[in-house]
Amino acid sequence: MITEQIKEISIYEAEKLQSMFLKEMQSGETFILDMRLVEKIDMVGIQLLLSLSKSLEEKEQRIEFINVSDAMLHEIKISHCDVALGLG
Amino acid sequence: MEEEVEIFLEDCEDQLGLMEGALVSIQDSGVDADSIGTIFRAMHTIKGSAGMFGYDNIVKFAHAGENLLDAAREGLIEVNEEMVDLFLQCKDYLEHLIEVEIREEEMESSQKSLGENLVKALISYMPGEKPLEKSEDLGQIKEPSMSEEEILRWHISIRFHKDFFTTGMSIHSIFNFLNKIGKVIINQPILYHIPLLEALNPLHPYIGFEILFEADLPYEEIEEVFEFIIDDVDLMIFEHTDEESLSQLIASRKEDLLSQTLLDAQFYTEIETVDVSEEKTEEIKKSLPEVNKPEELEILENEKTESKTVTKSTGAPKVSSSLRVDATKIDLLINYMSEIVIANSKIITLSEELDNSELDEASSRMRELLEVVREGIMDIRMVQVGDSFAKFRRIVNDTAKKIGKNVEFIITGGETELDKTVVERISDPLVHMLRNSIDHGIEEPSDRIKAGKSSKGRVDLRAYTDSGTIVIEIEDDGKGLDKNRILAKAIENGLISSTATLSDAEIYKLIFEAGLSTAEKVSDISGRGVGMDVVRRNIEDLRGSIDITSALGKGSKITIRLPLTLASIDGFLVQVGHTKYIIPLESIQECIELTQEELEGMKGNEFINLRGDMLPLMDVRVVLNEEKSESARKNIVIVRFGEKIVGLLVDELLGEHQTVIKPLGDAFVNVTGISGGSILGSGEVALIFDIARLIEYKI
Repeated sequence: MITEQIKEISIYEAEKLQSMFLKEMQSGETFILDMRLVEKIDMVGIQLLLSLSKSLEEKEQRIEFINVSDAMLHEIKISHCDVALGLG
Repeated sequence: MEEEVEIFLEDCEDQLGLMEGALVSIQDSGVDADSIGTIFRAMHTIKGSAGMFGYDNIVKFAHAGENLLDAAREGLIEVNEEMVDLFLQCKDYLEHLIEVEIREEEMESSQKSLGENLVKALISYMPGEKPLEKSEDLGQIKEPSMSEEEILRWHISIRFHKDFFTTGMSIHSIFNFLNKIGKVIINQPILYHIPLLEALNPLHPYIGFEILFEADLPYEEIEEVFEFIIDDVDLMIFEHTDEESLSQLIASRKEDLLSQTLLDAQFYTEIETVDVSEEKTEEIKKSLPEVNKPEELEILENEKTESKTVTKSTGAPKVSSSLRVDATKIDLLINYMSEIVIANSKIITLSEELDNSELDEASSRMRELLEVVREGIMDIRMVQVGDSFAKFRRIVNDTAKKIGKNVEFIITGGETELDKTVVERISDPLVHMLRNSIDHGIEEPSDRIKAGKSSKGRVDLRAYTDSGTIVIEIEDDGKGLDKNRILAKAIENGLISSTATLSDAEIYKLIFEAGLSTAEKVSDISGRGVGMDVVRRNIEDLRGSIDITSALGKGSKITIRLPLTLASIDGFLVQVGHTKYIIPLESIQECIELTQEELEGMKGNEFINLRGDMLPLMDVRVVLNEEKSESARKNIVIVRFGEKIVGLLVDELLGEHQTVIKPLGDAFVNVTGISGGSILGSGEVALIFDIARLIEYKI
């Protein structure tokens, strides 16, 4: 589980998050992403999550989002990527 | 404010300016298709941009205006005077609405009602339309004439160029806007190209979208939704029923396995691909970009089909004649430039001290180049005053109309350039003076006829450059200033003593004193004596001067002189006592030596005979309380401001100096004739003369 407090999943944080996710993936456990503090998500962030999801699927792992706020869910739904992320 | 929002605001200001200009032009010269087109495009652009940022209220309001303008463009309605007034009110309301939306504030209820009433009024002019009832939702953006059966469905296919994410544009805004102007039935993200996390470049877009969109809108309007990102995406828009375009899309995006995706997503119940020849497919494919390879794009002009399919792309770099730059970036550049100029002055000083010819040559070359760069940077800040002046047309018209006067307003010299900051800061004082001219200068039509004048008054606003300054004149052919009345009022208010002897120019200038108004009637436009002193102060703050001439019964002329820029000047360095001073080069007429003979000939008088004319002299040492000079030589720098000439008595002439103006602290506020400071190469501070103030002080 990602323990670092993530406030935004956006273009500004994408590279840092990518490294963090890659590290976490190596643990082999169910990937849990706590979205409690996330206040901003953009298309770069959504694409990053889709890539993460794809990578986990490849390893027969899965991603679990917890504490997704309505506002963040709304942002993801606008692009209709919620289904692909298992949030639909 | 975020940069994008600032750009949006600037865009809106530009568009509102165009709108107002076109409306005033209709008021002046009658309705013409160009003006209607300009107003329509302005309204449409504001609507489109606002939609991108999710400012729904702006979109709704602008849409109502746009509809009526579209009807006017199509010749379905005739634009009359009332409608022009209505559009002017709409422009003002829109301006306020934009401010409120940007500040994320709640609109006051009175303004809300105004907006609703304006929309009602707009709709009431629509052909065959009844005004909207208050309870109706004004936000329903649908063409009234279209029925349900006629609603069009569009297929929008979008892929992003490699740098799309770094452009700062948000695809979410596009999706939101599509939902405002119509309905997104299906939005199918295309995910095949998204790589595994290890291979992902997070800043590159791999995702794409296939959208089924329902809207009673023509193709052009849908395409315009993508206006701001059109150069950064690969876009195809076509009617849902257009099989040929669908086939082309599928052929061109073969690797996306689109057929199955579109069927799975229920875009289509079946896909019968129209036979697209191998060659044509290849041609289309080549012309469309692979994701992340924007350099391969080409505009498929000849592939635009009758069914309104478009492929927008950017093979060749788009050449734009202008670039919008944040003014603060230019200010920053000017600041750095200033520091470089100061640092180079230091090098020049050192090279002189070291007597090193090579260093001297290099530093001189550097100085020349810096001068070129400095001029270039300063030039970026220069804008034509005409754009700012054009908005005064409406103010003049409105003011004249309000008080029942007939005024012809003539602008000349609009192409004159001035620093943007100066233009912005001079705007309010000019508005104030124009209103005064109309309210108090121009007579009532009946009085004008009695005075043997045309019933229509005339106000001229001119701009031109003169000796490195810009001159702005406001001249009217009204009743002129009554100097006896001004004098009496000034004595009554204690501004001057009853025994004071003043020249005409000095009497007229009294109208710029606080609390002096000679207006017989106080109107809501002017006449309270509040404002003209503020006008003068604003102009003086800009290192400018203001003068007034007048002839009773014939009119008045206000002349404002302003420096072209506030950031730097070409200066001439002189020394008085132990202090160095800079005189703006453009104000210097000549430098002469004051011989011992002339000095003795002066016999204590403060003027000399210069080639037969009397030249008033000002001993800077005395005025600024400098120590007595040990220099045997005395020099006179003859300076001019407007029509006035004075000789400044200084000790030494040190030569030209590129002067970067640094503001002085409050301690210098009351020092006569000093407008700023500059740092010399030696690290010393030189004070910059304010020639206008010095001359005023002397004369």
